[in-house]
Amino acid sequence: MIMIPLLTSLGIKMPKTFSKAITTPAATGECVSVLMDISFSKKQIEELVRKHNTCLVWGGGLDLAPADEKLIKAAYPLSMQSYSRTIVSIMAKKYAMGINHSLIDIPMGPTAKVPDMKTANKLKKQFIYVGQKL
Amino acid sequence: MNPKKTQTSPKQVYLPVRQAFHVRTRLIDIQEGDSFTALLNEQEARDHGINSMDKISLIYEGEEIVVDADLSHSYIKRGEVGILKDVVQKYKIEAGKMVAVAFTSNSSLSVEALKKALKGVKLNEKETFSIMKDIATNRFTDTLTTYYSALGFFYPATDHELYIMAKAMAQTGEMLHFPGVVADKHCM
Repeated sequence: MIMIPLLTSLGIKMPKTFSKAITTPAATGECVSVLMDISFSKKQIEELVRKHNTCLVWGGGLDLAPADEKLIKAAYPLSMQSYSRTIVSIMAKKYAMGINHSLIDIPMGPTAKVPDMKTANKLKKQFIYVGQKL
Repeated sequence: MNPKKTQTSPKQVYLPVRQAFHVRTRLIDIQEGDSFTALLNEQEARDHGINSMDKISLIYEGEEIVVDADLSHSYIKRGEVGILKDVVQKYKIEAGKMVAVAFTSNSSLSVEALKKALKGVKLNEKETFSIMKDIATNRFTDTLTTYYSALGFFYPATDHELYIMAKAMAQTGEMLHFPGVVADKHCM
């Protein structure tokens, strides 16, 4: 929320999407939806990015990686998602949004999704592999 | 063989025809939240081999929409299809429009691929794409989608599998393209 306006003011495009939360009560976009509309069509997103270099939209509102929203619904009652599905979900949406440079923050610790450094390093390698191939 | 027993009048044999039929849309002010449903007249549906909770395909202004069928004896008349609010909102459906309705199901390739995956066999790009497409287009039931979702806990994917899954998940939906540097920062 701080970084994005700063970077987009320098002319870098940063179209942002979010999914519904699985492992937390509400994701960033769900909080933002209390204040403003977050459901836009493909055309509206293109127009927002053309005008402002950025947007914050709900991926499920358009057909962006549509299988992801359905897989999230299946996982929601258990508040659990495998690491494989998490990587696929994140990277599919980056690819569909036309992202070509991505910085992924992997918080690590006893209460985070990633409990230890070994798992974090493994995930890092997987994110890099998928990103380079896409 | 007794010839009398084999001669059956066509009127006495119930043979549901699984062909497309045309009905008019009626908008139903009910929102289910997480599933797509359409209501058909019970007898008309059975005439076409459609039962409750079958997957049906609606062709609305050239676009195919796959929904779950619910049946009504009297609320929906022959020649009508009741479209619930979730479908109306997503596909901007108007009342009184003609739609073609037909029974549909998931592709046999996707089901066979899911069976293979459940046995721990690695899937190729085509098989992964068929599963993602059937999930994306609502052809997979919730049960099949849940089986696929849970696979990751039992058989961690290889790097290459992650790549083909991400690619298939993206390519079975809309893709956006912007010129120049398009950056992103994501927190897991």
